[in-house]
This record gives sequence, C-alpha cells and structure tokens, in this order.
Amino acid sequence: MDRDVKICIKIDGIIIYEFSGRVNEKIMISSANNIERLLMEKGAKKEKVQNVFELFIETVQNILNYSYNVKLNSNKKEVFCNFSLLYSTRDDIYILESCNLIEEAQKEVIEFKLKSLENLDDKALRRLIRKKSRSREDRHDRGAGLGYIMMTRKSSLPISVYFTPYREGILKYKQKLVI
Amino acid sequence: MDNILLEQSDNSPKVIMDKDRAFIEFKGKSYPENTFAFYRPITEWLKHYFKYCNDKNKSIIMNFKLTYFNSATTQIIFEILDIIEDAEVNNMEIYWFYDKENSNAFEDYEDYSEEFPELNMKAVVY
Repeated sequence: MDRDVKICIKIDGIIIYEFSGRVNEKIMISSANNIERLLMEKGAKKEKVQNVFELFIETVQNILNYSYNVKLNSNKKEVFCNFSLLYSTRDDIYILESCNLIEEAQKEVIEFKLKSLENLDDKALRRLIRKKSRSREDRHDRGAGLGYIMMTRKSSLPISVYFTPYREGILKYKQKLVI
Repeated sequence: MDNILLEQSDNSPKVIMDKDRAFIEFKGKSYPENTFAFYRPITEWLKHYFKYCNDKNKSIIMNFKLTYFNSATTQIIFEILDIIEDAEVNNMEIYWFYDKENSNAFEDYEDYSEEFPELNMKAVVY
C-alpha cells in the first residue's frame, strides 16, 4: 500500500487502461482526461461519461484531501492509493473502485455521512445539495462537504465501503461506486 | 478595479470578468485542487463590481459554459448567484449553456434556476 499504485480500466475483465505511480493533481487530470477519451471513443453516452469523469475526480480529490499519508511535493499533495475502473457491456455499468489509507477516526465520519443519505431519492439528494450549498454548513478549507452526496446522486447503486485494519490507528478504506 | 482574465487550464475554466464590457464568462472544466482559493478573487471582484462599478443603464451578461465541475464548484456557483441576488441587480442576464445530449447539464440549470427564480436564468443549448 505504501509503494504500489495502480489505475486500470477493464472491459469485461480486459484491461484497456492502466497507470502506475503516485497520485497527485497532475496525474488525476491526465487520468481523468484519458478516461474521458476512452469512454468517448467507445461511444458511451455523454451523461455516462460525465458521471464517470466527475465521480473519478470526486474520489481522487477525497483521497488527496483525507488520506492519512498525504505528502507535499513542491506544495502539491501526493498520495499512494489504488484505482480500477471496470465496465460491464452486459449491464452497461462502470465500477469505480479505490483504496487508500485513512485515520481510524474517519471511519465514523464516513459511515455517518453515508447513513444520512440512505433512502434519499434523486430529488431529495438534489434538494440536499441545494440546501447545503446555500448554507455552506459543511464547507471547510479542503472542500464543500458535498462529495458523498454527489457520489450517491450519480451512482446507480448505494456506495459500498469497506474498512480493514492496516496498522494501529490506520485503516484501509475501500470504496466501490457503480455508475 | 482591474478586469480578470484567466486562461483555461486542464482543470480550471477560462474566466472573463470585464467591467468595461459588462461581460462575465466561465468556460471549460472546473475542478481546481483548491477550488475555494481559485474562486475567492472572483467572488470578491463580483461583490466590489456590484457595489461600486455597476452601470445600471447597461446590461451585464454572465455566461456559464461549464462542461464538468466538482462539488466545490457547485457550491461556488451558488455563492456567485447569492452575491447577485444580495446585490439586487436588475440589469443582469444570466445564461446557462448546456449540451442537449447531456441531461445532467440541464438538471444543473434546473437546480440553479429554481433556487434563484428572481434571477431569471436562461438555458441555452450549444
């Protein structure tokens, strides 16, 4: 986990895009652009491309902002993590999986956020985004506090998260988005 | 007060804030690493502009031509529209450009226009 980084895109089990290295802003941008280009070349619908692109960005920005092992390189954040993007032609769904390290205290925060979004339909999620955007109640230096709401809204299934111990006080955080 | 002209980058939009032409535009993708820091001069410019520079005989045009934006930008757009609403500007035309093949973009327009009905935002297909 401290050394291995892998970003790959698979279609029905076949990798069509792969990246290895540290994740930082520059790599996030190039990966997002590559994902967009690949999906457009495949003839994916624009909504789908936009959702995958936006959820990829939200996920990586969350990782850069909240991972415990963020390093600064020339004042730019860098972090080790894993990514994969899979596409199932049968169901026309994309699965974006990521894994990064977080402090144990983050687990409760994430679970609380996801619990509060359970059973909200698209209209309710849109209303919540509007309410929180205007009140700015969850805003902080690193973001608007809207990431999980946006991810829930643009995913076709509830967000799956898994926490496994890594070492004392640190957890591996795995997240799965179905788009 | 100087105009603001920022060139488009891979993750930040082209920004035109031209007080002489009464023309404001955001174009491209918007997911800067520190979104709030990126937009802070822009929101400050708008507050100053509406307070001291607004020629009420001239229509101000504001165009949103954003293709992708992150959740922090979503909130910034609300903040920009809040600033306009608070300034009680009556000489403003706000246009939301969207791709007709992308229903997400039109839903974004619906959310903003319903939240700020008095601003009379208009959707434009491009």
